Amino acid sequence: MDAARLKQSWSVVAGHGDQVPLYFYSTLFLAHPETRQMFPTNMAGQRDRLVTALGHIVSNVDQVDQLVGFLQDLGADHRKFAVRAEHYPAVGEALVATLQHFLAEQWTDELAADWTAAYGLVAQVMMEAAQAAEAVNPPWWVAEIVAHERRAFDVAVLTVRPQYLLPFTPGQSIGVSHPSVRSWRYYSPANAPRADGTLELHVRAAPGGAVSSRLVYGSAVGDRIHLAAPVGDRLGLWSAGSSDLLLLVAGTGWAPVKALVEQVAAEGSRRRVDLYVGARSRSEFYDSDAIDKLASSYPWLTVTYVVGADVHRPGEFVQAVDRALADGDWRSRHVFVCGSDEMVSHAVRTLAQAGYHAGQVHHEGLGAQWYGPAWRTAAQQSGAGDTSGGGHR
Amino acid sequence: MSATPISRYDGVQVSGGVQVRMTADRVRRWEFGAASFARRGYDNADVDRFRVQVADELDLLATQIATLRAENERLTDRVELHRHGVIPSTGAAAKVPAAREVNLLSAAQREAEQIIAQAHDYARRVAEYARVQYESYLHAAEAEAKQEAERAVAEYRSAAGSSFDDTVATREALRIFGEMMVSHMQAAARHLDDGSEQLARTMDRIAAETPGAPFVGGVVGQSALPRHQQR
Repeated sequence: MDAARLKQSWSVVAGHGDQVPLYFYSTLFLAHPETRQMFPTNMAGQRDRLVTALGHIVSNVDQVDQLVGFLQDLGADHRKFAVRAEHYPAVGEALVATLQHFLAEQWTDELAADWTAAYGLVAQVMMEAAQAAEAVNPPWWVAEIVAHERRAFDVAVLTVRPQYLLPFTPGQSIGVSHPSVRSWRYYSPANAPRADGTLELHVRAAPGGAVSSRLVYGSAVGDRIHLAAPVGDRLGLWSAGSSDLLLLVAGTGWAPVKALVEQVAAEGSRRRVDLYVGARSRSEFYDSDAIDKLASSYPWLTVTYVVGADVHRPGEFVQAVDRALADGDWRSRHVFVCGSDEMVSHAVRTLAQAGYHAGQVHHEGLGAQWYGPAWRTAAQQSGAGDTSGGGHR
Repeated sequence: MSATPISRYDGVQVSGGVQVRMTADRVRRWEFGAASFARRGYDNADVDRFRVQVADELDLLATQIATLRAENERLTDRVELHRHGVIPSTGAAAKVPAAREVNLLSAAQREAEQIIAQAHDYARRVAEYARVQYESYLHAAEAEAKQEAERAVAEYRSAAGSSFDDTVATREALRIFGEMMVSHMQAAARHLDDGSEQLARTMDRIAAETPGAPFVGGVVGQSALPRHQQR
């Protein structure tokens, strides 16, 4: 196997952009129509993920020791898509056909042999990891919705009970899917682990979000949903040591932070915690009863609500971080930020400008980090899984 | 069945040239040569029974073949449909689909995604419009209620003269403000109920027009959620 030749040929193919995954999936679906129903109707995000993962694999193809961990996680994770061993050759065929199509006259027998060998290796590692993972985790957990509350036009708070215990750490995210939709979204449980194993999920229906819309508008108590192994280590309380905390949240980004507050309460360390909860308008504080209850139960917790938009001053928007920095100097504390990508990047930028160093500011990765190099670090801590920073809008 | 034309059934086997297929009719009409007087010939009864049996067997086989061929064609069509949607395949020799087919499917996928994206964008705009409407309505209602409350306080002030009581004024202002807001909200709720009923009717109509559209059906059930379940 000639690594340089593989990389060179991939860079030629990758130059064709979105055409490449488009061709790959069309070939796969035409040759194996039964695989189509494993994917969502809208394939746009899926194509990005395929190219990201392939690019990562090809660029590390000569550093097998680094690649193996990535592929093992990938293989274990793919169990939640009901991928079985017989699907791997089908994918290999479609991949070779795609490469051949885009390389045209540059496609040689040697290249075909290289790619076939490389793919064979990748598939073998993934299949073995998937099999090994069976001994540790189920491919997915079936969970029953035991409470479903619509808290706002587009926000629901769900309590779900997995059939088997799903262990997680506050701040982590778990995969959530509805049997009728073929895609997964990541949501953070809004509670510290409970004795009865139930999880609280805060879901905002994203425009066009198949999973989120189904969870908010199309499910009820008694329905069954699917959960996948927890991922993410960036919002873990351990990274803050024993220092006092400043928590900045917006929208359903409150969920993982609520779990952190419960964890602080459980550890009994009595560190000082200041929470700033942001929303566009007052009606969007969907969990204020619970927040007020926490604030009145724990003297170490101080809560400030920040209403972003003011009808008297249209165009201006006050974020949680703006109010917090106006209120005081928190540089001795660790800061946890969770919200939409815009909210998080604004907060991180503002904090950096105010002299906060990167080591004390904790937040999830922004946007799509599926199956790229960052996915590996996110998955490492939890063993298996993938992550998306997009769950908290 | 037995579609093969029988050109000759005079009992003479056609040799050489075109091989005439054996059919039930040919067997039935087959004439065995007469046995010589010197030797015992075939038992005619046995031959007749054999002929009937062979004919029946051939009839059965012909029927089965016709049925299987029809079934085979139906299944092939089904496979074609599954593989290519409405696209008829050309030369199923290669296992890997041809680039032309692949590109056609890719174009269809792209177009579907564009339609989905447009629908999502439209939904997002509608939701944003509704939110702005809601906020401006609330704002206007609040301003009007406040104005009413202030006027009531001013009236009370001029009427009460020296017996003016701050707590009475505040209570009166709050009462009027509250009443105004409640009546505004009730009007808004009536308005929303009308809209929601209209929406439900539209959704029912759509669901009836597109049978087997599960998501539409699911949404209809949920969209009828009474507002008091929301906060």
